[in-house]
Amino acid sequence: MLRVDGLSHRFGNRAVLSDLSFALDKGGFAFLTGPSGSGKTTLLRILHGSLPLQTGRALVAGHDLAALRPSKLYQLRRDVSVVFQDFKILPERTVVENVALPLTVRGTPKARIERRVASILTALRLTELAHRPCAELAGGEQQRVAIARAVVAGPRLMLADEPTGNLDWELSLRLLDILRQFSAHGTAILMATHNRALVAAAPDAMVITLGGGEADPGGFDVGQAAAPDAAAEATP
Amino acid sequence: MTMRLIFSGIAAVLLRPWAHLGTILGVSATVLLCGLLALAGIGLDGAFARSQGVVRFQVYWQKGSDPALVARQMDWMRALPGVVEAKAFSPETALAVMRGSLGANAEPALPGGENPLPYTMLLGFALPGEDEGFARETYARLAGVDGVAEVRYNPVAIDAMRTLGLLGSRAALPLAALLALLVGLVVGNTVRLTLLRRREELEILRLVGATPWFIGLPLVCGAAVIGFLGSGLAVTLLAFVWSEVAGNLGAAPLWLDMASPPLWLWLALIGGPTLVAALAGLAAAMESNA
Ligand SMILES: Nc1ncnc2c1ncn2[C@@H]1O[C@H](COP(=O)(O)OP(=O)(O)OP(=O)(O)O)[C@@H](O)[C@H]1O
Ligand SMILES: [Mg+2]
Repeated sequence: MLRVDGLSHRFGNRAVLSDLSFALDKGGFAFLTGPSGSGKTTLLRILHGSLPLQTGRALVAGHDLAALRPSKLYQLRRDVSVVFQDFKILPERTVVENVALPLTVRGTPKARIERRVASILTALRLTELAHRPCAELAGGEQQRVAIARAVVAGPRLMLADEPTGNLDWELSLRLLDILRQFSAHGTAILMATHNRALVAAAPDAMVITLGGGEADPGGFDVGQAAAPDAAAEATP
Repeated sequence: MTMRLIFSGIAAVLLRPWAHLGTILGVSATVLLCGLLALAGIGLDGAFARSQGVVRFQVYWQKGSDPALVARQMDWMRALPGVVEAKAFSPETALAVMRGSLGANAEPALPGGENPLPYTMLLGFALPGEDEGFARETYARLAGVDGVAEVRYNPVAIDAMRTLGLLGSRAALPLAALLALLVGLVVGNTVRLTLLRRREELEILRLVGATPWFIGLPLVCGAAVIGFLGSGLAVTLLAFVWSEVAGNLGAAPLWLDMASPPLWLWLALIGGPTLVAALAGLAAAMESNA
């Protein structure tokens, strides 16, 4: 589903990712951790085709990033969804419209869209807000809208960038539960997070830790500490 | 799906026509300008092709001339060598023509019930080659006739109009290119502005898997609608101008008989800008995709 081999990335002469390798199977679930600035968002952007692949190989949901033509980028993005750190939802549109967007651009029939969106909104407890413009929502609510949009079309792989950043502990746990259910239904999930406790709450999940070299002072080796049986930068 | 995208592009313009009014008027002004020149070129060219080599004289007799004498003089003029066209007007027929052109309500004031119009005659001579001397001689001959008050003829005016006509027809291709360029720039810039305003929205659409087609088609259709509305407005104005101008040119002193412009010209003036606008929209959409 997702296979990364010897991936490196630099901005100018600053190396952000170096020689990264891991793989994630269909329905697999992995945490992506590392200090701020270690390149979590950068990796997710590369995997989603928003940044060019510089060195190494990446096979994402059957798409070879090195061979992907810009005109076929939309195919990658239909197979791979993202929950962005800054949500990237349309503030003046309603919750329903935002969540339906991936289905709308695919030309899915209206009735199917309505059914699908309604069930996702229920799962994420957004039904009450369905027809409110997103600009009126609280941060945590907007984040759940972003998550709903990322799962609505049943992607093969979901990349989530700090999806619990604006949620309280209880909601974070609930969200983790929901994401794990999705992965159990066949969607592979790669979730970037700072939250050690959350990583600890899923001890069977794989953990990929970034950024040894330029890490914050004080270290940050949550992955190994919290989930001793998961491999960092591992190839299962 | 495709139909929905087309409709959404058209609706985007039609639902907010004021936002696009500037562009529509810009297209209109461009089409109007080029259309006027094209009309002048095509219309005058055709008129000259038909009146090629004919010089027209209009002869006015003094008021109160003896009808019997005038009739004999008219017969003499008709028999002059080279005459290909002759139209005689008595004061009565001239008045009737005048009434007709002024409309039923506008009664020309007749002082003391008297008809103020003189006898007149329109004479067309086939010009032997490009002989200026012939026109001058003929002028002198007609003006020398007893009882003739005035003779008008029009080589200077005709030459000026002929030059204009030639200019118009020679400029046709560069004109069409200019038209395309201007419409493309005007509409292209508007679409680019639209893209700028919707940049975030379009970026999000792409992130969730929208095809270039999904994003581009509404833009192209919207641009085409702008081109169509703008050129349609211009062509409506042109048709009006034409009907006014053709009437005036068909009378003294030019007597240019303007056939109405060919249908293809009208179609080209609408279809061309619409197509160019659509292409400009496509270019802008592709540019933003890269
Ligand atoms: N477009 C860019 N140009 C130059 N440098 C960049 C660019 N994007 C990111 N960087 C740098 O790359 C490094 C990694 O950034 P990135 O956003 O991937 O970190 P992160 O792990 O997601 O951090 P956080 O946990 O705070 O979200 C940072 O030092 C950042 O300044
Ligand atoms: Mg980040």
